[in-house]
Amino acid sequence: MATRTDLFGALKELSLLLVEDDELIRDSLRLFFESEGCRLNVRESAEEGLAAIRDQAYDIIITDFRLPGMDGIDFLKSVQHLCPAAQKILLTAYMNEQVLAEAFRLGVHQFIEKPFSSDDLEEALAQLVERRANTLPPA
Amino acid sequence: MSRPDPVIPLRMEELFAIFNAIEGAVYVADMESYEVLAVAGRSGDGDPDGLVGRKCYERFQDGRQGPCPFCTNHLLVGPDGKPNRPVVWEFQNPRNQAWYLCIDRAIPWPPDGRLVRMEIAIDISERKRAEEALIRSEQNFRELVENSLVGILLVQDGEIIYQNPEQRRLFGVLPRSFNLETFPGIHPDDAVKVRESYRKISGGLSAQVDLDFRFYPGGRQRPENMKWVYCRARPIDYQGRKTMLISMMDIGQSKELERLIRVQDKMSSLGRVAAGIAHEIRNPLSGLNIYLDTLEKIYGQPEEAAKAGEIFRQLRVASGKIEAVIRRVIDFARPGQPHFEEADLNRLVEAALGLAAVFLRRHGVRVETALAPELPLVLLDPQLIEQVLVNLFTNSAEAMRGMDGPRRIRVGSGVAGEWVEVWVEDNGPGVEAAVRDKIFDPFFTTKPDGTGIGLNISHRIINDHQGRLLVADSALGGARFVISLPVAKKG
Repeated sequence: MATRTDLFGALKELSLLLVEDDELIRDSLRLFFESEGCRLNVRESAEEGLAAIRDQAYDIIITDFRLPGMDGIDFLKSVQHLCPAAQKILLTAYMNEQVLAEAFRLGVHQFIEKPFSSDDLEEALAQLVERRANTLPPA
Repeated sequence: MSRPDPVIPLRMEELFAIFNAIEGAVYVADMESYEVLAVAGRSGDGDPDGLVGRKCYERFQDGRQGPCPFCTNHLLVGPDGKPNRPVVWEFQNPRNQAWYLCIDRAIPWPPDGRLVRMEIAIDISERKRAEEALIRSEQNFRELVENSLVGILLVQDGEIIYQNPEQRRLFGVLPRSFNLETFPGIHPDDAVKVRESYRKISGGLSAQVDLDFRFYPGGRQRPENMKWVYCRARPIDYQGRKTMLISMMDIGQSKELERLIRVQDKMSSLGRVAAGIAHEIRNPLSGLNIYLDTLEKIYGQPEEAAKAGEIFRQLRVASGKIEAVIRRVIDFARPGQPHFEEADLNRLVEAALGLAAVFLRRHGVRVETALAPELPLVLLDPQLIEQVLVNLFTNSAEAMRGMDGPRRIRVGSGVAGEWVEVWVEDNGPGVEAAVRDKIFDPFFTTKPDGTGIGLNISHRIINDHQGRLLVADSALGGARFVISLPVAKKG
């Protein structure tokens, strides 16, 4: 398992996108990553998230399940097409098995249940980074 | 002192002319020997039974050996030997059970001038039977009324003339002078309703009023004494006078059951929006956690002071959001007796939308509002009206479940004459005309997992506010529910 320094060192090299309609979560996470020297791109809705992906490919996409308009699951379906290599994390305040099963099918790699802390997110990211290191050929 | 009538001697034929004209039977008998001297009268036919010459008591009382114990002979002649005033009495003959009105008096017997007994007997059996039937029927009615499970009160010109035992049990013994309008024990929230009804009925505006209200027997307003009654008042003609018939039933138990069902409905509404509420708390809580983590990291670094200040501000925002959600849930769920206050319906629409927001979003519903900028105040119970609104919102969203295309709910408000209206409409499947008059019935539902209580409770809540809840077609293509509540009267 990588240390924290390793983790953020690795994340600095990756592009991250967060789609979350709650302003507090968006702002707090942006500030959190900033203080670790990383950049987190944030969008308020699935539609805006898709627009961002069309502009640029992302390595890691974190999305809330419940979003205004298109929900997180439909968003991830589109992500599959636009950016198949992206690693995906789903945030949700209210887990239900149907959603979990659907998310697995869409290749979601990590789930984080709300309320969460930065530790939960770090742990999920660390696993993704590790997974990435194991599956991708060295650059 | 009245003097006896002068007795004018008559001749025999004159006397019989009078006898035969009498409606009834007449006989004349000797006062000493009881021998019948003559029989006549319109109902007799001379003397067919051959009574003349026999003892009177033999004829009228089968097998008697001596004078009847009730014989009036001794009353007919005064101590001065002159006839007294006639003795008039009612008598039931034990032989045939017939009733007679008897008029007995002493008259001089024309042939010899001696005073003899004359009795005119008029058959009054018919009248007696009618009187007895009347008494019996009055007794039956009294018994019905006395043992009725319904409290019955008769009021004439503001005075209680009758209160049956159930009524006494409900209200206690009331003062003789009584007016429902000014009775001090009426619950303040029902006083207007009672006064209105009383005015309608006493002013002749309606032939009957039905209403339920709360009151305190004895007039002392303490919660443990409160009673709920269903009351009906109508004017009747009683003993020839205009009388108010007020009947009432104790509906405390059914009101309690209704209250429980309402609480249950409220809880189920809350259950439906619970996922949304969890979201609304867990989001700011997550923000709070992450800010704290960041703060911990930069703690003690002077160059990060500005960032720390911003984090503190955000922490307060997050904590305020959580508090607001909790307050909203508690306000909604708090049980209690209805409490009416003057309120702005727009504010309640916003509160209910706040509660249901995430639920609606999760159902993919876009909410549009078209609220009037300013509404007159309405006398209402904010919790109850919010319950109705949440019900309408969640119903709409559930009706559109599984529907393709955009799902829309439009909420509007406005004024129509003396009414403030709020409408909730959608582009869902709508309410079929065939079930439109059933949807407010208890236990009627079109949802596979519905209880059929929500709309029924909503309807009752609006009725309790003297308002109306109606369903119609929406221009959006679905259903349109309209709540109309009366504008609060000034003063």
